[in-house]
Amino acid sequence: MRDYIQFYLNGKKQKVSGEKISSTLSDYLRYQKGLRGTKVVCAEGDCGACTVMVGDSDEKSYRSINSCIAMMALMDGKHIVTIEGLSQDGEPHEIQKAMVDNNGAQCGYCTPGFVMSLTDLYEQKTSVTEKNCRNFLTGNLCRCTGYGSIIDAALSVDPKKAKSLGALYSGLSIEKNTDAIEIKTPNFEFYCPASLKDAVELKKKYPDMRIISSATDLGVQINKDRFEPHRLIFLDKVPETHLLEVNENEVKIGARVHLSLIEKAYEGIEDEFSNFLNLFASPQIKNFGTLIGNVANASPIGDTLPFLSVMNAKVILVSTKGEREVLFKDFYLGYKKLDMLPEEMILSITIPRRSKNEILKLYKVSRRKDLDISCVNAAMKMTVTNGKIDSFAVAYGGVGPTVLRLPVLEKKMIGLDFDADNFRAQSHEIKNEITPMSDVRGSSEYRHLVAKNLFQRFFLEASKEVSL
Amino acid sequence: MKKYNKNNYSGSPHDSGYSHVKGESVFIDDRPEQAGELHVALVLSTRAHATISKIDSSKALDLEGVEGVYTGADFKQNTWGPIVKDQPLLAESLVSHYSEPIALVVAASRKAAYEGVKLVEVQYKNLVPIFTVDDAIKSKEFLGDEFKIEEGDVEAAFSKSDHILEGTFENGGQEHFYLESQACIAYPGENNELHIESSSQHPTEVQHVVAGALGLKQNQVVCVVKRMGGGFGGKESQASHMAAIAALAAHKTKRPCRLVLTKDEDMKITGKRHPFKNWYKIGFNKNGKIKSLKVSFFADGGAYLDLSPAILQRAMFHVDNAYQLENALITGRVVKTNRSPNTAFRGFGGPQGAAVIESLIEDISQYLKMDALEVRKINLYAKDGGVTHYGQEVTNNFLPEVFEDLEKRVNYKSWRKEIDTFNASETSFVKGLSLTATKFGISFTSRFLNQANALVNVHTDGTVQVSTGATEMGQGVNTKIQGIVAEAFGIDSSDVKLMATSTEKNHNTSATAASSGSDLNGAAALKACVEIKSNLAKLALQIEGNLIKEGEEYNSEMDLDISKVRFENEKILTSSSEYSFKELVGIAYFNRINLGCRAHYKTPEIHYDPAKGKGRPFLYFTNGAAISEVLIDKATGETKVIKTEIVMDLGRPINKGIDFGQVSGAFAQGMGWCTGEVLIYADSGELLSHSPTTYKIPSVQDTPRDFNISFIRNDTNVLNVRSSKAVGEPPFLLGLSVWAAIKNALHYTDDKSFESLMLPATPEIILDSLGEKDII
Repeated sequence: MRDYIQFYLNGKKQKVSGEKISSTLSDYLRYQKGLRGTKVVCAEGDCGACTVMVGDSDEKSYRSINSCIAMMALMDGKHIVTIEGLSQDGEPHEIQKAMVDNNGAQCGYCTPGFVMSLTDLYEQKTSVTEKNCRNFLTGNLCRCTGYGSIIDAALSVDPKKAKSLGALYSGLSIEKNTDAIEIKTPNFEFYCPASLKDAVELKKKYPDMRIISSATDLGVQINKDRFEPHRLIFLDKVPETHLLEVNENEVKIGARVHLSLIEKAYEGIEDEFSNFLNLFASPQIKNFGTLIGNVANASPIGDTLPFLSVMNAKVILVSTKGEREVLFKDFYLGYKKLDMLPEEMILSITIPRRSKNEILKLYKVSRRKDLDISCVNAAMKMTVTNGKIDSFAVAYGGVGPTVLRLPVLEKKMIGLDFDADNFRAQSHEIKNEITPMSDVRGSSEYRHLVAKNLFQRFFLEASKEVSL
Repeated sequence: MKKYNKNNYSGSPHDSGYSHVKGESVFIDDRPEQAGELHVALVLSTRAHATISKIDSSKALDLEGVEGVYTGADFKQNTWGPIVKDQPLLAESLVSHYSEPIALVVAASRKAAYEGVKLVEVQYKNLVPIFTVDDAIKSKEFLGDEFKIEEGDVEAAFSKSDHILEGTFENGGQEHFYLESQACIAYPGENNELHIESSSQHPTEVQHVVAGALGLKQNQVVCVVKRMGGGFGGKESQASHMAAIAALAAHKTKRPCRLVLTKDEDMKITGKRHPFKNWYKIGFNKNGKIKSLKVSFFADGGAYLDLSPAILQRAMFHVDNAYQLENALITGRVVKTNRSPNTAFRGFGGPQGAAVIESLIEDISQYLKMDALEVRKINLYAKDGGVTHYGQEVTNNFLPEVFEDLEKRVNYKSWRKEIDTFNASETSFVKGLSLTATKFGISFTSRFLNQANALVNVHTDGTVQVSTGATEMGQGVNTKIQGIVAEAFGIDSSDVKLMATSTEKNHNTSATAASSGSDLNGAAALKACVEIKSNLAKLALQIEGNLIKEGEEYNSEMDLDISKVRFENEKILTSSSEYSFKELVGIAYFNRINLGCRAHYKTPEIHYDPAKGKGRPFLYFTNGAAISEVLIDKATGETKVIKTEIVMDLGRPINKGIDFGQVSGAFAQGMGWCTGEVLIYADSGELLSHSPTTYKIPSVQDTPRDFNISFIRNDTNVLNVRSSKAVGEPPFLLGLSVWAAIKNALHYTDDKSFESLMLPATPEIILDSLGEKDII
């Protein structure tokens, strides 16, 4: 048991204890360590100016994260590389040189974040294409350049010359720490148990304790509402939470599995979902955030939720009494209300795989296509035999207090001929089963119209796949 | 990759390039805290319009760490404004917009300051707020006087026109979204002096506002601006407001005080691009020729005047955009609403003016069933002989060349055919295509602002330091001036360094605005170089000709013909000899020859009479055109920009790489204004879209997949420094090509509607225009 966290910063070992562990990583870097290259603009993970690279002893591979919403407590065992850690002995990194040569920096405020995101691109050894550049930069906003020069910079780096972080810090060996952590200060307690048994015991002892997944939402609440969490539990050292298993029938995903790993796991086996995850959030968020975080957050507009709903996923809850399974579609009882007891935690989720004859489409409608909270999202799954619909599932987000299945419509669709008339007619019935509100992301009228049209769009897209 | 025209990247890279990419560039909040430094946080109004009956700060003052709470009464003069002093620095008896600063809390930590803010109790008595242009007109709530520009006889021309369209046109506001929010640190000195480090486009105004607010003399206040993390006009006037607040805290506590707004606070407090509502009537002939145009502009100024009259005036000047108006009656008024005071934003009203006529041209095209490009071409200003509605001659106009070049480049006719074919067969998507122009007037429309001064110091090792009134906000003004000076001395640009902008070195400066930063300050710097060069040239001639007696000094007073002396490749060349620049500089120093110069520049030839609405407000125009193709999803109203091609006339560019970045960035920002950027307010008047979660500027995924920028050659702009043209704002207007393409796409879906499409055309607005039609 330790009462401090230990990590590495630009190759140097650091220890932090007490109240400082509740600070954000960006504040720690800027105001404790004087590393002011890391900028904070939005303080909510939406602009990427605070991007740093984080690796650990398990994965040699480093990933970009938003340091403005990452809590220090979550940094145990990590190696954090900031913009200052990218150039060695004053010599700029190839990526930095390319940014200068291509005028990728104008005012310079977003620049360190962009450089770190490009570092991620080169670190992942993905082929460097224009498309990949854009995908790796989705989480970074620039108001000066119009992005063209940054893409040019990214494409002009010679991958052979660009040193990986592993190579830059080849002398560094990161100690693997599996021991539990407990840090208590007068206002704040942090628990990082090392086994599932300890975790459920703690949750029983402190039912009000919040489970911190990656703080991609909690971090925003702390920054924006000046919310001060009192007691947090972090499950990163519980081995069971890192489960990621793909078999013929289902995909099992543990509570601590990051979205970027899930996106990769689904590539090739369910491209509809992996492509959808591509639009979801940003690399920085996906590298740190988890699917279970999205589920537990229970936002009515959570982007993965319609998919989980139509796939009939199961949520596995755990407490001192053992495990309990809840069908995903029954998991939400109302706005941000979960079928979950205070002493329970989500351990994992099991998602059945789609059978070959099932057609699946996922939709996300927002003012901006990428990294924007949806106005409406949806998932539709169907089978058609001999021109007749014999199974149908539809879930919408953003049109009610929680993600909604439309049972009346689903029932009506079964047995209907797969044709435009039926889809058109039924699409006009959707309004009876949804209750969208007007808010900053769209009016109720707009959401109604989009919900109707997406249903029709599903027909158009499914037509290409249905063998009549 | 040829897409981004690599060959345009000539010129030195940005002078802060390496420090930017290494994270070493220092912005305001990157400055290390001094011992004893304090943090300032603001108490903001939670009403849009109310009288303040009480401000109780006792609980805040009791909080550990809080060093003071100050209100408007603590200022010597609690009003400010860039044109008229009508805005309180801290609202005292009346709040006029939501999130208006009411008090400041200064504390030992940021946390304590914000906790203190929560403890300040403000009591209000509600007044009725006004949030729309219509309501303001109804209540006769205006700021300033009406402007009028008249040319020809509109009524007579209407009666002779083949067709007339009438209607209203509205555009939304726009948040600047500079990445670095408003920030300032005030350091107190001896004898009440203040040193202000500010993220401001206008250090002189910061100096003057701070001095005025605290009752200090101007010579007691120095304002320094190293750089900004973006400005876009948002830090032209309003940085002074925040600086005065930080300065009050420093003046009272005699400790350094730091005010760094969060992004949310910044977006809620500060003003934005002006929303406009305009009434128009346009007469045109069956060939598409515009005969007569009447537009009444109403700009939503927000709660205070700020720069609104000048912005409105520029909108009125740019209602012609690139098209000759024979008869025009253009009027304009600023209305007062209970919103943040709207302010300068790249284009400064120009985009709002140009949007009107570009929209009308799309309408005329739809009405006459004529390609919009044909309508544009028939109305385009000719190469020479054109006269604007405000009486300025349009000469050396390269717009016809720009149009021709662009049309050829993209093979317009076949592109249009592709769009026609696509739309004829597709039911759930629709495409649109449009080409729009920019003819942006360069100069401040207030003549006195068109002046600048620069200080050039040559050091004994041959390196040069340059100080001007220009502020660097990413646009590369320092890099351009560096290029001008390096070229003048014939030395490498790495030996020329641009220094932080300081009112101590350059005073009475204008804001770095109106795209004029390089024009004015570059010209002043060049004048200073010319004088130093004259000294060095005379020295070279004296050495070459052995003109000085032994034991006497070389000097710069001797009357010599220096016209043949050249400065090239680190050398100073006379007809028969060459000297190393560095060596000659050393000799000059030991002979007591001046190696520094401070020069003043004023733009020639410009004048404008607002009463008559006539004159030559602009030294020249920067021209360009863009063509964009959009794809609209009829199910959701979402738009994708497929391709954009831009051609600009930037004269003889000083640094093509910098200019390329300005065009690309301005276009993206303009596109954002036209599409996804929308300000959403609660009924209370509170801004709800106050962070990037809810306010969506274009991301890397939104810019056109196929995006090309080219410059055409034009050496005729000899009145401006190095025959270059200003670039900051003009390409912003080209974002309108995306909006016009959306309008064009919508016209494909509906034969009858000539109604004005709202700007920005958000997915929701587009779907609303498409109606409830099924897509299957």
